[in-house]
Amino acid sequence: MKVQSSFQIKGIVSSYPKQVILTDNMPFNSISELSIFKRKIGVLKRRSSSGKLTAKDLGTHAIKNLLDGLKWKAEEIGLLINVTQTPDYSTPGNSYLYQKELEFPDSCFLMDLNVGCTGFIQSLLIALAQGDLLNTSKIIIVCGDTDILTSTERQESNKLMGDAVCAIALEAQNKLLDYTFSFQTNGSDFQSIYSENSFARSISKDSSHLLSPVIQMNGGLIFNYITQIVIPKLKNMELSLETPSQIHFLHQPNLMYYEYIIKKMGWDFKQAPTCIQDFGNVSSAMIPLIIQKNKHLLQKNQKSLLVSFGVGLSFIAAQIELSHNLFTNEVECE
Amino acid sequence: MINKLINIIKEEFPEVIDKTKVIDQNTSIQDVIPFSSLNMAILLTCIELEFDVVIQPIELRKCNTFEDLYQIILSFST
Repeated sequence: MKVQSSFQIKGIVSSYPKQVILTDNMPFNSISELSIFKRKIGVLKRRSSSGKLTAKDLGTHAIKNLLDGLKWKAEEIGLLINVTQTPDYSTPGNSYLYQKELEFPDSCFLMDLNVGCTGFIQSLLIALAQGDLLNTSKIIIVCGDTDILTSTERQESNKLMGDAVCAIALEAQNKLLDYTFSFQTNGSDFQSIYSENSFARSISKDSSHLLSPVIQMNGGLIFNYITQIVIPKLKNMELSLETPSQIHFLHQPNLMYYEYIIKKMGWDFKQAPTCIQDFGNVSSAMIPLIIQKNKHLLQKNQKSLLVSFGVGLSFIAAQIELSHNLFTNEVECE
Repeated sequence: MINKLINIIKEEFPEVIDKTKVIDQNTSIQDVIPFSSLNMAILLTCIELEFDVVIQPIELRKCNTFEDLYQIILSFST
């Protein structure tokens, strides 16, 4: 799908807790199990808020730093899209909390998306389409989660998911820019990754489960989705692109699936940077976090392919031109 | 071909498979690789990469020996 928009990403700020959890210090049944986990899942350490910081807390730091870095004023923001599966409250969404705390104007259009790993690219597509419609020149996207698998009693079992939130700034340019998107959604397999014990469906059964929104994953169905949907859609998309992508910013649910996709697509590992080793799977914050950490790879007039898949099940990819002058920063929070 | 399968699996699990241990078609898979969800995911992924065959976890669980697994791969290949 070709999209033209005047908006371009101008900056990315990542925010994550100061606390580092080392995989070596996590409980495993044996040394060999630990070794296989590190080699195949790839998480060597990750950041954890331990319940002390929410996605909204991290997002607030990220947005403040982004606005300061770009010398933008909150009153200039015409659209704020918040993406998280771990909002402070079931209602209202975090976007309204950001508006109050950061003093976004009452004319700012607020939007909250309850989406997983594909959330950043989904929100990017929405921002590109909505920005011109709303006649604004500045947009903020904020995406990420905290404690997604780690209700208090389950923190010991979480070895995969890390905590991080990214704030992304988009600004209108004087010309239309070309973007290409590809997406697929598959709600019929929603139980492949889902949180059974939360919100209204759970309240109707037993409200005591509400404090345990542990996400369940069916690895077999997720792998099927990668082989049957993600790879064919990516191959079709590559065939349709006028200019090949030089860099691939690929979601990493684990190192094994990341490597599998790179090999199947015939991509260069050096042009597909990772962050799962140091941050774990950080859901919708992963793609902007990888971009922020690898800004040095960006060159002028270069196309990048952003690819993500996960909760839904869903897949989305976008070919975009990321400016080598992108403002990037990171904030450690405690 | 079955030797290729055995060698690939040996390479995927250096932590749990003793290099000196003789593994043949009649060896029980679960005797050398515990069927944890992670180990099964590793098996499914490497089989797809090497043989271009997507096997479901339930089919993998039915396999007792390496020969059983090899036959499943063959059945999906044709």
